[in-house]
Amino acid sequence: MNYFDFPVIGRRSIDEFTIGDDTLPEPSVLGNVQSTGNWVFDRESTPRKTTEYWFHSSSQLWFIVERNTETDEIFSAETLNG
Amino acid sequence: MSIRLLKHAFIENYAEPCWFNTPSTLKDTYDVVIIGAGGHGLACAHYLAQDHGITNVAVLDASYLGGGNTGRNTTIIRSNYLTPEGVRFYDASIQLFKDLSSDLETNIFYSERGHYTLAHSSATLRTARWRAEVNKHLGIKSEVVGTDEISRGCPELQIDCGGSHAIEGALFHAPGAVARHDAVAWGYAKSASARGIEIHQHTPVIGLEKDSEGVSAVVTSKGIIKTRNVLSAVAGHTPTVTGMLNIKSPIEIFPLQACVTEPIKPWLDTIIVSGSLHLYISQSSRGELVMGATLDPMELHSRRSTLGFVTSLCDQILDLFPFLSGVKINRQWGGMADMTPDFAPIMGTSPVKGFYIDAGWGTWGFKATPISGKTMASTIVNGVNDPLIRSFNLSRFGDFDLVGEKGAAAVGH
Repeated sequence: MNYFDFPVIGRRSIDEFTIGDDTLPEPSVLGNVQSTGNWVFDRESTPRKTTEYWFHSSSQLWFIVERNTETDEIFSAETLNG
Repeated sequence: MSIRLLKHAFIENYAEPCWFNTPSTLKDTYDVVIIGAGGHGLACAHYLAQDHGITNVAVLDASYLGGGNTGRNTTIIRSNYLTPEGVRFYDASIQLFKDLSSDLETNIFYSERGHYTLAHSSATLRTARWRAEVNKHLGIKSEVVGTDEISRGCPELQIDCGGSHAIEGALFHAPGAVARHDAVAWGYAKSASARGIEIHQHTPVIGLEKDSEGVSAVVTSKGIIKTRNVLSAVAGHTPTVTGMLNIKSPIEIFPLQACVTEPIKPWLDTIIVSGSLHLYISQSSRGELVMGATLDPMELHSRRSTLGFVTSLCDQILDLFPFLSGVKINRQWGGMADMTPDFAPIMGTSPVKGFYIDAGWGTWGFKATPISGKTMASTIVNGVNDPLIRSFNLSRFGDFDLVGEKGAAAVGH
């Protein structure tokens, strides 16, 4: 089982989390329907280092986790909004 | 002593008939280049030759034939989907599967078993009813059955399911079947190869080029191929390949795992699926129980398999079949599943002319193999999407015109 040291809640199994999507910046202007649809759905799902939203249900805390999507290595975890 | 061995001993340079060719060099140009020598890519090659007489085709694979999701799925074939688009598409696939052994002159061990999707709550039963009515409306054998009928179909099943989540009914789909996945890929390879199509294994694609008229070349580890038609049938590697042409898609790659037990005496002649318990189980012709579960919860580009998968799956299987507690797991593996937001595939034309996509199969896409090959072949030849796959085009996401195929995976994802 894969464990990681999280801030505030300490060492946890990654099975305790609901993993959200990449932390994509919201566009300032969405424009037409087409570009809105593309922003909502399109992803960059290639092997890479990325940051994701992770939700820990028992503590109700959100984290931003930096992870390698090929090796599953976790580099860092920060609470959302500090 | 076998005749085969004698032939090797007494005939100089005795060459056995091969299933498919393995040419050592690439030509400079092909009419069509298919990336991915899995079931889908090879089926497309076969139908390009058989239906349209196009044989100047190369099928490329970064690894070996059928080594991706074609060899990793759990071989279940069914058409009890939720949307009319999905039901029509998969029913056409079943019709092709039924005659495939004789069409390919290869025994694919197609075996109709019947397929039970168990409902452990009235909410699941309601969805089962919905699916059954859509299926019946489109002429598919599909019905909601009660616990007595389930017990008759599979007497070994514990209806109380460990006491905490008793089975209330099931969606029963009589045409549900299994087949040998390797035989399907090899059969298509044999047929395509016999018609002159080249299959290049261990030939990774490292780039794609385009000009003002559309896709123009495929850059491989063994040289550059000029072509005006490229099909990407690479499942879990789709975002990498489409990225070579800067085509964006909603596909996300998640790991999907499966396993088999040691071979045991045949006792399970049907296919059992539980969406609530996230599991499915059938028995192969070799006696192994083939079992799988739901997707792992995070994006991952790896075929690793985990102990956590086996332990949680076995925990649920034993609620249904407690007598299996002494049976050992023989092998486990993982595959890279290409998921879409609406659980329907992404097929057909792309923003780049001449570049076609066959992807978004989610849970491995084995049951779509024949029909995806056939419809992609007709799409490539005509340059417009085959009517059967029109609603599966990549453009539906920008247009907010999703398919909503929640029945795609029999287990909930």
